[in-house]
Amino acid sequence: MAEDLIKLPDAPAPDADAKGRTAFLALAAFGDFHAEGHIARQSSQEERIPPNRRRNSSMPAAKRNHRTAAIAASVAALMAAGVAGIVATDPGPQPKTNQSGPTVFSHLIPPREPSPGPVERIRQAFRKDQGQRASLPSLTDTSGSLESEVASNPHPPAPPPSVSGTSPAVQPPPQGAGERYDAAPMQRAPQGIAPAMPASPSQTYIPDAAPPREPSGRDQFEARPASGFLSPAQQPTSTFSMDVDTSSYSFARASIGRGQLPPPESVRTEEFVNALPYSYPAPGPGEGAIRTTVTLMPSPWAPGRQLMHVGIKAAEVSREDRPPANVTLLIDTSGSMAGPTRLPMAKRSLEILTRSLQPHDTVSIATYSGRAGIALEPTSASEPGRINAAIQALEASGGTAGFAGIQTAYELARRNFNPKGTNRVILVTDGDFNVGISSPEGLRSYVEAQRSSGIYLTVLGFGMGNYNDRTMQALARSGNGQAAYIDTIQEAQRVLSDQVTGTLVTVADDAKVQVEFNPRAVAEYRLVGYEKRALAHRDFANDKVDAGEVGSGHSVTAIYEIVPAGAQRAPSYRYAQPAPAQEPAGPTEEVATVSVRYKAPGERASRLSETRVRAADALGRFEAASDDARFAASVAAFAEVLRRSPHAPEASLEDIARTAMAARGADADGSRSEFARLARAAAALAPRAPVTPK
Amino acid sequence: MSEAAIGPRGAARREDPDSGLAKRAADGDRSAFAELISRHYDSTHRIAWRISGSFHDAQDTVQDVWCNLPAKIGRFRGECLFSTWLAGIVRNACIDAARRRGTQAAMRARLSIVTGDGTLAPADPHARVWIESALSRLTPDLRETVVLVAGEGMSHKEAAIALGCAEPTVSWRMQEARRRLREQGLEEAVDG
Repeated sequence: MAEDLIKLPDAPAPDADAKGRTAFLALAAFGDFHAEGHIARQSSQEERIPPNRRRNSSMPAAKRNHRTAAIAASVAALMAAGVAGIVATDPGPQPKTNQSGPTVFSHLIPPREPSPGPVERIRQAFRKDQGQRASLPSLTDTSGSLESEVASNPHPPAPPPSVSGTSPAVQPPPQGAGERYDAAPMQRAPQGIAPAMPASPSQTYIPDAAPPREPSGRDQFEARPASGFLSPAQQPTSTFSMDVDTSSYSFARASIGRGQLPPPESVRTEEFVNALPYSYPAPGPGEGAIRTTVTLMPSPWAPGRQLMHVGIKAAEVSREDRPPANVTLLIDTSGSMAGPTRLPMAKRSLEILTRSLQPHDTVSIATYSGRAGIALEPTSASEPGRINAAIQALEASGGTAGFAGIQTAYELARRNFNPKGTNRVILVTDGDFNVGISSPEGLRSYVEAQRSSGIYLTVLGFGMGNYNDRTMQALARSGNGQAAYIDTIQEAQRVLSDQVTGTLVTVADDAKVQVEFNPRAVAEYRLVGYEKRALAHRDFANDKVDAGEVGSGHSVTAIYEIVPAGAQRAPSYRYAQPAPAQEPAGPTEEVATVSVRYKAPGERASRLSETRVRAADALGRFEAASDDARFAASVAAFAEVLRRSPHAPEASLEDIARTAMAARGADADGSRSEFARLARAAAALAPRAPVTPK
Repeated sequence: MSEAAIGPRGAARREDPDSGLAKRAADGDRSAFAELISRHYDSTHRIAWRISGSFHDAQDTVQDVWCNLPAKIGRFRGECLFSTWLAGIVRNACIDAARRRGTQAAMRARLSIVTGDGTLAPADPHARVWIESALSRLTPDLRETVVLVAGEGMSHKEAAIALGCAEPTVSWRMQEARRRLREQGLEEAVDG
C-alpha cells in the first residue's frame, strides 16, 4: 500500500525531563482521582446550582456565609482525604503483568513497606491531623510521642536574649565598598566553596545515590545551586533582597499531602522559612518602618558552628487605619481552572477576601478566558452581596488570553485609581497563560511599566498540575508584589484575611538586607537559601536596583550558618590549613552588622537601619534562643534536606520535626504544629528512610 | 522510529497488549498506570509533534493528556486497541491546544520561512525538519490522518476510530494526501 511509504520526518526524541515530569504529574493526578472519589462528586453537585440562580440569589447573607463555611470544611476534608486516598490506593501485591521488568516510572510509586511502614506512619500523622481539624481547640495533643519528648526536655526554652535595634534616621549609603571590618590580621583564606558536612549515608534521609527521577520542568521551576560557605576575608558582605513570597512552601505542603515529596528544585529555603509566622517585635512609633532582631546561637546540628537568625519586622498598619484599597481582581476562567483546587477554591478564597475588606475599599473584577471581559465594574466593598454574586457567577471555560486580561485589569484599576489609597491588581490563576504572551519576559516588561503608575500586582496561584511557577514569580516581582500559592482554605484565610492588610498595604519598598561579617570573628559563613534573591554587593546602595516589597506587619527571616573564628572549617580546607592562624574572637569583637535599606512608599531616597552583633551576644545553648529563632532554624533545616542541599544538616527529618515542635510557642493559628506534622510526614515519604528506632 | 508503540496493522483482530493494564489502571492500580505511561509516552509525543509541528507544544499537550487520563481511562471499553483510543485523545488534545494557543498564527509565522517572505528563524531546532517535511504541506485533517496511518501504522479502520470518522473517509484522505504531495513535486514523498 502506497500510503505506508509517505515519508514522515522522524519525530525528535522526547525530552527525558519532560517525560519524567509528565509521569510524576500524571501519577499525582491518578492518586487524586482515585482518592477524591465520592467527595469530588459531592462537591460537583454543589457546583451544579445554576449560575443564574446564584447570581440573583436572594439567600440571606448569613445563610450564604454558612454555606461557604460548609464548603470550606468539605474542601478541608477533601485535602485530608487526598492523603488517606493515597494510602488506600497503595497497591497491595505486585501486579503480574510486568513482563518487561520494572517500569521506568516504578520509582514514582510510593514504596511498599511492611506495616507499620512509612505509609502507615503518614496515615497516623494525618489521621491526627484530620481529627484536629474536626475539633480545633485540641492543638496541643497532636504530637503524641513528640510531645512527651518535649516535656522531658531538660532545657526548657529560656526567655530570648537577643540583639535588637532600629535606626529610623535617614543615613547616607555606606561608604565605598563598605569594608567595615579590617581583614588585615587574617591570613587570606583560599578561595573555594566547601561542602559543609561530609555526607554520611546512614544518617542522610535523602541519599545522593539514585535520586528518584523528579520533574525538573522546562519552565516550571528555576533551580539554583545552594549557596556555599564564604570566607569574610574574601567576601565580607552578603546582600539579598527581602522576600515575602511563600509559594514554594505551600506547593511542598500540597505535594506531601498527596504523598509525594516535592521536586527538590521546587524547594526554596527562604520561602519555607518565610511562610511561617513569627512574632518579632515591631518598630515603635517614630522608629521607621523596619525593626531587626538578631540571634546568634549554636547550631544544634553541627558542633562548633553557629546559626545567626535575622528577623526583620515591618511596621504594622492596623486594619482600621489602612488606607482605602482599590482592588482589581483578575481571574483566570480558562478551561484549565476547572479542577476543584482551582476556580472553586479561588471563589471561596475571594469570598474570604471580600469579607475582610472595609466599606471604603472598592473591588472590580476582570476575567480572561479566550478573550478578556469585565465581570464587575468598580463596586464598593460595602456591597459584599454584589461582589460575591459576581464571583459566584464565574465559570471556567475556553482558552486563556492572559495578556488581554492583564491589560483589561490595569485599565479597570486606572479608571478607579485612588491617589490616597493603595491600588492593586490581584491576579488569580493557575499560571497557564498561553494566548498573546510569548515569554514571561514580555509580560514582565508590561507589568513593570504599569508599576510606575502606582498599581501593584499580587499573584495568587491555584491548582498544582500546570502551576507555572516561573511566570508567576517573574510577574509578581516585576509588579512590586507578592506571589502566594493557595492550596487550602486555611492558606486563603492566612493570606486574604489574617494578613490582608499586609497583602494590600506596602510599608517599605525595595527592601534589601546586607550583612557584613567580621573576618576576625567569623571564619566562614553561609546564607541559607535566598539564591534567587541574592544581589550584587554594589547594588545594596544603588536605589535604582529593584528589590523586595514589604507589606504591613510582614516579617522577613534569614538564617546564616557561621563557622566562628577558631572553629573547625568546612572540609575542603583540609589542605590549605588556614585555620590555626585564627583565635576565637574576644567578647567585645563585633561578629556582624545587619543593615536594612528600604524606601518608604513613594519616596525616592532610601533609609538605612543597622544592627550590630557582638561575640558576647552569642548564646551558649541553642535551647536558650527564642522560639522564633529555633523554629526558623528548624524550617530552614527541613527545606535544606528536602532540596538536597549539599549543606543540609546531618539531622533526620524526625529530629527537625521534634525541634520545630519544641519551638512552636503559642502557635495561635496552628501553622507551626502543622509544619512539624509535615516534617514527620516527609520523613515517612523519604525514599530510603532509616528504620525508626524502637 | 521506535517500534514499541506502533500498533501493528490490522491489530484490531489481535490481542491488545495493553487491555489488561488499562483495565487495572481504571480500577485504581497505580503501577498499571505507570506502566502505560512508560509504554506509550514516546508515541503520544511523536503523534503530537507530527500534528502540531512544535516540540514544546507537543510536550505540553501530551502532559495534559496524561494528567487527564486517570479520569478518562474508565471510558476505554476495549472496542479498539488502547493505543488507538489513546491516539484519538492525543489528536483531540492537539486540536484543542491549537485553538487555545492560536497556533495557527504561530504556524503561519513558521511557514513564512519556507515561503521565503520572513526572516524569523524558529528557535525550535526541530521546527525546520517539520516544516520541510510533507507534513507542513497538508491541511490539518489530511495531516492527522497521514500521521496515524503512515506514521503509526494504523489500519484505516483503526485510524477511523481514532479520528472519529468513517473508514472510507480515511481512505479518501490518504489518496488525497498522496495526490497533493505529488502535485507539489514532492515525488520522494510517494514511493511508486
